[in-house]
Amino acid sequence: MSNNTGLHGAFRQSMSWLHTWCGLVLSLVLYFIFITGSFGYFNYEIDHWMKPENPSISETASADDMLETGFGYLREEAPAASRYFVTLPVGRGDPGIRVFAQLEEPTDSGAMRLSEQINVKGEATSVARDTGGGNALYRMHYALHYMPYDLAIYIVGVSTLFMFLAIITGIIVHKNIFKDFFTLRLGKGQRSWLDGHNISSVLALPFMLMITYSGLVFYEFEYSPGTLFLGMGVDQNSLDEMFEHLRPGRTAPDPSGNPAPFPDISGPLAQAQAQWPGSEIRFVQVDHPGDAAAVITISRSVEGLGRRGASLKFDGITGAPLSPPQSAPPNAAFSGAVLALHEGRFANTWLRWAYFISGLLGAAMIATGLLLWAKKRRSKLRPTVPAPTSLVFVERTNLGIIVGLPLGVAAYFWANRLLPVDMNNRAEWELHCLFLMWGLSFMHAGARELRRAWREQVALLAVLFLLLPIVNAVTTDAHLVNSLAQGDWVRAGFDLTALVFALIMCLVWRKLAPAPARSVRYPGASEVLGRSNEADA
Amino acid sequence: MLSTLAGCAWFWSMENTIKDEAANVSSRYRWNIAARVLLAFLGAFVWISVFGAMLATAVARLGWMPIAQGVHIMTLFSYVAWCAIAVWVFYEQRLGRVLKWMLSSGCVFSLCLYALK
Repeated sequence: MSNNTGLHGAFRQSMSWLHTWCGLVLSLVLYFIFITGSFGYFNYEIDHWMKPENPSISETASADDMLETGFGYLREEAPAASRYFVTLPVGRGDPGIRVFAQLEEPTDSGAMRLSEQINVKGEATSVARDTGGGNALYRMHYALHYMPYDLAIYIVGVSTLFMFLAIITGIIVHKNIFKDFFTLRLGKGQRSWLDGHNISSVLALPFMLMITYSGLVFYEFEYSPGTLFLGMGVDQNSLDEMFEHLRPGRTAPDPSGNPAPFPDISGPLAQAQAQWPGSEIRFVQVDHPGDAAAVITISRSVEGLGRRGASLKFDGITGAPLSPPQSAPPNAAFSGAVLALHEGRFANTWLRWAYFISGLLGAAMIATGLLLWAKKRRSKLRPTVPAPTSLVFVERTNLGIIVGLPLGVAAYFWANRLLPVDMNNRAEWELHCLFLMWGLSFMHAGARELRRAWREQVALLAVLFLLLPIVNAVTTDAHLVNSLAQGDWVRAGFDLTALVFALIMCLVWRKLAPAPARSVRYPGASEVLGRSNEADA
Repeated sequence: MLSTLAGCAWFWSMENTIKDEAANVSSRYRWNIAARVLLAFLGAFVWISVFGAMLATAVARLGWMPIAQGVHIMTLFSYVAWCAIAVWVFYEQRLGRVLKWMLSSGCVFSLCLYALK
């Protein structure tokens, strides 16, 4: 049996083989997940920038007033509903009050739900342009795009499983993990890419382990259904039993069928506020409003490492507290903590930035791995022998993947400002622009000489991000000067981040310049980023 | 769509690069790799499912915890166990040994699960 692939060597050699292939096989999907997921950590902030019609600072009111406004709106707009839900603006969430009703009969458009954002005066604030916002980027990191949701989550799941194995085997392979971390040899061709790969991996190693494992836990029964099916059966009762175990008291009792007045929220709210002094009320839910079996659920905002805040239940007619809240079992608390770590809901601004940067380091780890793989194959070729077409293709598509996706994201932001505000399917077209730009990047990488293509695409990326605040200023009033003047640091932060990113891309572009003096300074610099590929042209 | 096509082409091209590089690799070796991939993914998945269900049912029978809790804990643990099995499958030189061990222990766990149900 051939041993030239390194599979059946010593333990670390075998793991190196496994690490390489696990990382490479689905690296395109993983890179997409890491880039879009990183933006997801600022989904609300990106949303705010992409909806310039929304006010910089939202009006606010007391929880009692906002709840009264929210339920008043729902009773007027959706009088026949089995559930009302009012979420208050707490923390970095949406600036307005979010109201939701589960309708008993479909509307004219066939919808079975009403979902709206309103201001403290009870007016719908859906005046903002139709946009995917930050949530579209966030959603794509687990649901992808242009494919059914069920298929997408399994593609993402398999990719995450590969990533998890690649990380574990990567740790096994790097016996000098800390020494490797402090080693960066610039201008040494393949060695430089290996150092870059090591640094980006080790720097964010705890994040990588956490994010991949927690990603699998998100869809635990979809990705690993065998134990559930064999242990508890495949019927709906088993699933209900499992979900009741994980979230006790979640299921609402059936309606009685006896009409009753709409529940009075104020009494239960006062009880909840007395029980949680200093905590903010996050949402209030009313099951079976207008029925004698109505139940009021009040939940406070998340505190500590968890996904959901504590909640209390009250009788909708008497306002008396129902059975004391059942705490989740330790295994459910563990998975809740793991998921909270993944989402970073508890994170303040600085920690959120750490998440974002760690996510980008994950993308950098994948990108350097891709480049290293191609570089290794090229270094094995004799200079006089032309590279195989397949290797040339891999090198070019690497460019389309690595730079093309950020180009697509830039195009997405541009589309938000440039597409007509009243355009049909506008949000969908923003995403079409992202994928069109990404596709063009692949075509450009294939059409141009590789070294030039790298420089041109990085230059375009720098220009797109550099001009983004200017396009914003030309097309809206929510530009950098106004944002700073109004103290809207979220919008200003977006523009400033775009400028910083453009600056970084300018530095990369400069680094890619074929300057002879640079070659003397760093003798191996010509090896970096395929500069030895002129023969391909 | 363009991106998807380009991605597929990239994957195909990468595969061709491997073929170019490993032209001297025997077909036996390829089958060996394919078998390991199947064993590491599908085999390990089935083995972990049976093992997890058996253990969860056993602890529920002993009254240590509800079956839902046992199943959930084993599901959370399954990814780590899968990873360990995959590492072993790709390290072990004699694939038959892995197969025998997984089949025999899997059969024992299945019988235990059947008896406990």
